[in-house]
Amino acid sequence: MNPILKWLYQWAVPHFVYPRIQAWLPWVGLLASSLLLVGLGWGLMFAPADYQQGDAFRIIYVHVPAAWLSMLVYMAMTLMAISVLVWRIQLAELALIASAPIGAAFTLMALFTGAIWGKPMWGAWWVWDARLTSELILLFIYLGIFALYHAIEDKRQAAKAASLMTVVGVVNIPIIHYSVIWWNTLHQPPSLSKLDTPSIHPDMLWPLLITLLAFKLLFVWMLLLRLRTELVLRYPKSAWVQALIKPNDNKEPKL
Amino acid sequence: MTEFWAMGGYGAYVWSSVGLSLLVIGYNLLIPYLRHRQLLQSMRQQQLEEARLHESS
Repeated sequence: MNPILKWLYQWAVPHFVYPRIQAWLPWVGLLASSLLLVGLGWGLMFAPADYQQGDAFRIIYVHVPAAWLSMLVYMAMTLMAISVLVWRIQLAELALIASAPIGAAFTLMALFTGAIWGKPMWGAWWVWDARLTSELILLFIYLGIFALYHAIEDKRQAAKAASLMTVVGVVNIPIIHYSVIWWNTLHQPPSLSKLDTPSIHPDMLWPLLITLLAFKLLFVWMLLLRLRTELVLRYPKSAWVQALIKPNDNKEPKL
Repeated sequence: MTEFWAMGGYGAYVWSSVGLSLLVIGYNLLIPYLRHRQLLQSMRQQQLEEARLHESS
C-alpha cells in the first residue's frame, strides 16, 4: 500500500487513536486556556475603546469567535459527514456526533452574546433579520442532527442519517455568511472576512485573532473529550477497552 | 479598577456576555470529562460483578 495512505489509515483505527487523544488532551487544554486568557485579558483590558460603541464593542471578543466557530464546526462536520457517506469511516461517525453539541453550544453563545450586544447598540435584544434568523436556524439544525442520531437504534444507520442531514443543512452556512451583504440588516458587516484589509484597527484586531485561535483550540479540546467517550461506547467489547477498564491491578487505572 | 469593571457604563452587558460564554465553555469541558469518568467506572464495576458471579457459580 501507498505509505501515505497507510499512515492515514491508522488514524481511523480506534486503539491507535484513543491513547493519542489521552496524550494530547492536557496539551490542547493548556494551550487553549492560556490563549483564551491572553486574548480575553488583552481585549478586555488593553485594547482601545471603540470611538462609536465605547467599551460595549469588547463583546466582540466573545461574540465573533463564537459566531465564527458556529460555522467552522459545521464545515468540519460536513467533511466528517462526507467521510461517513463515501468511505464509511467509523471514526468520522463518532467525530460527527461528538461535534454536534459543541457546534450548538457555540451557536447559542453567538446568539446570546449578540443579543446582549444588540440591546445597548440597536435598542433591541432581537430582530428577525436574515443574519439572526439564519443563525437561529443553525442552532435548530445542530439540535436536529443530534436528536436524529439518538433517535435511531442502529448506530451505523443513525450516523448515516445524521450525515445526510448535515450535508443537506450546509446550505445554511453561506446564507449566514452572506446574509449581511444580501439583505438589509442592523447587523454590522464582517470585520474580518478580508484579512488583507481588515476594517478594524490592529490594536483591536490582535486580541481578536488570539481569541479566535483560542476558540478553535477549545473546539478541539471539547471534541477530543467527547470523542473518547464515543469511542468507548462504540467498541465496549474490544480488547483495548477491556484493557482500559481492567480492575485487577493495584493502582487506579488512568481515566 | 472600578473603571475597568464599569466598562464605560456598559459593564452589565460586557460582563454578562463574557460570563455566560465562559459558563458555556466550562460546561462543555466539565460535563464530557465527568461523563467519560463515570462511563469507565460503571463499566469497571460491571466487569467486577460479572467476575464475582463467575467465581461463585
